[in-house]
Amino acid sequence: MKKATAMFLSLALVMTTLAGCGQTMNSATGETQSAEEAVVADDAAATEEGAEATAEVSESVAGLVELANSLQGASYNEAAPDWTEYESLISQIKSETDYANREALMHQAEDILMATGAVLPIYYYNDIYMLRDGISNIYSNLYGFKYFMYAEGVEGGVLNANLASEPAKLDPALNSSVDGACLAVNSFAGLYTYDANGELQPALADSYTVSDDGLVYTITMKEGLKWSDGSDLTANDIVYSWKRAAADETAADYAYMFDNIKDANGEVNVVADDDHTLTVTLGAPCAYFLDLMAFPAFYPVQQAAVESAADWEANPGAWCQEAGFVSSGAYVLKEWTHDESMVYVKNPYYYDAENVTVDELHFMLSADDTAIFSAYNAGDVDFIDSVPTDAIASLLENSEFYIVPNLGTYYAAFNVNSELFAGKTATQAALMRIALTLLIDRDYIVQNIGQTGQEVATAFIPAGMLDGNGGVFKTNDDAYTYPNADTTGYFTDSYSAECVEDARILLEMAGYEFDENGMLSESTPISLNYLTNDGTGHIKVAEAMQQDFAELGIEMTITSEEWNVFLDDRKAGNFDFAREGWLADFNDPINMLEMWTAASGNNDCQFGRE
Amino acid sequence: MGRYVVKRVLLAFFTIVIITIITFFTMNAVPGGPFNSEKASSPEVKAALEKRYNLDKPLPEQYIIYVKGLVHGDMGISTKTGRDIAETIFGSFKVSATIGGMAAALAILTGIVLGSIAALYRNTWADRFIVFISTLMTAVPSFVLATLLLYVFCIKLGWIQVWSTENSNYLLPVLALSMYPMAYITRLTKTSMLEVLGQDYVRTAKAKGVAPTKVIFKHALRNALIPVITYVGPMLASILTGSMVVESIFTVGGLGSKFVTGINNRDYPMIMGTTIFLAVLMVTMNLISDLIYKMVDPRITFD
Repeated sequence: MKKATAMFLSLALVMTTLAGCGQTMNSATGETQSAEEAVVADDAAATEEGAEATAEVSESVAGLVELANSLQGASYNEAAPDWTEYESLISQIKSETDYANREALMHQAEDILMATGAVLPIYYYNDIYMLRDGISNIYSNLYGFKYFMYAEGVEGGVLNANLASEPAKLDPALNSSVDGACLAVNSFAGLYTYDANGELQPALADSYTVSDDGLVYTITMKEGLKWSDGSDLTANDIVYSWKRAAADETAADYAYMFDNIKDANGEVNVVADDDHTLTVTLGAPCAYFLDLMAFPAFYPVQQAAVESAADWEANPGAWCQEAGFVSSGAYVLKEWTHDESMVYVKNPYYYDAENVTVDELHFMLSADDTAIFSAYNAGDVDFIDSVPTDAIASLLENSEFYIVPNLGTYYAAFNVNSELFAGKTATQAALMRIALTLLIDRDYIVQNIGQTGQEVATAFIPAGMLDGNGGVFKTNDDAYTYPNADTTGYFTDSYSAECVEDARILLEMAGYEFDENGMLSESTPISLNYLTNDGTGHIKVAEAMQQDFAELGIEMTITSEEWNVFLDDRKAGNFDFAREGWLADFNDPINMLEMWTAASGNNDCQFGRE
Repeated sequence: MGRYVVKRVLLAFFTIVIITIITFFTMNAVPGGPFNSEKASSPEVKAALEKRYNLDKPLPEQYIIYVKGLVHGDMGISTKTGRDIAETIFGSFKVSATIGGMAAALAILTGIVLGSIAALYRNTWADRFIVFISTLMTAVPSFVLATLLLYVFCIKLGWIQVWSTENSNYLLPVLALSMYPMAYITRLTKTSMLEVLGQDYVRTAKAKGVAPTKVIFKHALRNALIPVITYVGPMLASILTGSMVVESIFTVGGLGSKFVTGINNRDYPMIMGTTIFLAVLMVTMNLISDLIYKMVDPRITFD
């Protein structure tokens, strides 16, 4: 119904513009108004204002405003959007068997999310690293995992590198950090892996078949697979490892990734038919199932090794807290001087050992920018995963400085239950948030603060994310066109005076008044607080937004908190407006859509919560 | 003397108990928790983790469980890494103590020598030079000094590697750690030496014709060292437990950084472990320096 209204509206607009006649234009607006009244019947005043201005805001944001106009207030809070439709969309997406329908549902969900204006995308993450000239074929996937084993041009066969400081957990099932995942992909192996082109390739697996309904995967593993202690690695090891990773007692952060593989009793539905054949039964078709199998949480670990640790039940990761544990990847950890260095040596039992070109990986365990950058400049390490922020500008032209795409969005979020929106309708609150979004000069943030050529974000789901239906999600196609077709997003990607003008119109629609200088009137002030964690980059972004908001006389104060306190406050909704960021765990929009359900621990906007 | 020691040990024990109580309840009162992360874990996972670390129990019960474990030598496991706390603390203390021990020895020896020279050759160029250097060194923050050393020796001169997996080179961290206490001891020694040199018994000794070196070493220096000893006790405790800044810049796996990262991660067992460890060390060092007073200055009696 809403879609039909929107389509009718845009059609009417296009027709009248083509006709080029002012008289017809007015009557078209009249029609729009009546169509709108049907949608937001409960607040006539808001609708009237909204409809009037819809014609006035520039085309770049008109589509989004349309979506916002159809929001309903929640039963417990008139200013917060009603979230029942979103919740139902997410559960439909999770059980939808048709990939095309599923994609359409995900677009609908993102439409609702963006219509609230509560999620304010700033830019899409990318990733940087430095690699010594002469060394090649070290590659990174979209999640920032670095693959070192096939590097060319490494002198003496030893690659010295820095990823981060001491890794918290080496157990691939328990790890939840990017540096930990880098160590995992180099020292453990999964059924699948990524090649240098970012394509999925079979690793421990040889091939797979999938049933017509997309639910049953039969995976054939390679023959003769071995653990690093020389014992056989079989399908049973996969069964053990998946069940272990998914079990509550293991308390793995990524346990939820196994949810779709669980049967009615909550058991992981994976069976070893023989030593090298696995049958996996999914709850719903999953376009990214191979991606999951390439993710460290799905890598096998050896049961005997896990249970050799004295208190393995109380401390599941105890078996790999010192060097010398059994693994299955290209390298085994030979020495570990805590907080100083790790020495990985080639694993002769690795299935692809003959193609592994680097004999040893030596990691410098440090998170000190100065030390890391000095070690690189002194030639003590040849790969570093971070550089001091001050140095970025001078490195952009350096051939040793690499910028690679990453799958994630840096954004800011509003708490929809904030006092800031008291007395507004859900639509007004949304329009107000959208207005604030428009005021932000993202180009400035990317060029002067991000500095590494990040792409300006116009939607929450990042550019490059797949749609689970054989294509890229963030594109216009026959089935779906973004409200702003030019940017395949919800608003423009280039900041201009027009954005400020649009913001002013939207604020007026939301009930705010402006004085003769075009500044927010003293009778309807906006003053909000931005919550961020300590960190120069985050604070600089906050200051840039503060200046942008001041353009219309909106006051923003900045509160910076210590990381752990910040996480608590953000999660509990103790904020108006806060810094956010999400790096995708797998290449499907559902990963970034399901986080906004009321039950999710990541729903910082407090959607659907009283 | 024996009674005094027993009394002091009992007092120390009491102090440590109080410290554990304050630390335990304060750290739990601070906002944030050990299982917070940018991406929140599911409620099931969080519940399982809290159960694993007994965080689902009331605080007083948690405290009792902790103390019971401690009495049996069990300091728990890190909520961040799952590694044994005692192992982590003692392992990294070994590193910190090696570097800190060398730094302390360097600081004490050089400090006393320089301080004595400055006092004996008062108002000469040597005195002025020493005063200048020691003032500078007390004023320069350790991160500046450490970064400077790194830049000069590792980047400019290239004599020492910033990092390597081979034998760790402790020269730079030792230098960086020792400069401040060295400067402080120099100034303390100088001041106190000047005071002692003006005392009657020194003048008497000189008048009696005792050899100047003997006057200085036997009579003056010995007494001049009392304030130095007062300073060295707690200084040792802090220098032996390492410095976050120096360890971070020189990639040294010492104890210093554990204090800070423990708190940042809300790693409760780590916070308790490091605090208790430092408290015990501090109290012991104070006791030892008090006992050394007695040996140096017979006028001090224990009551």
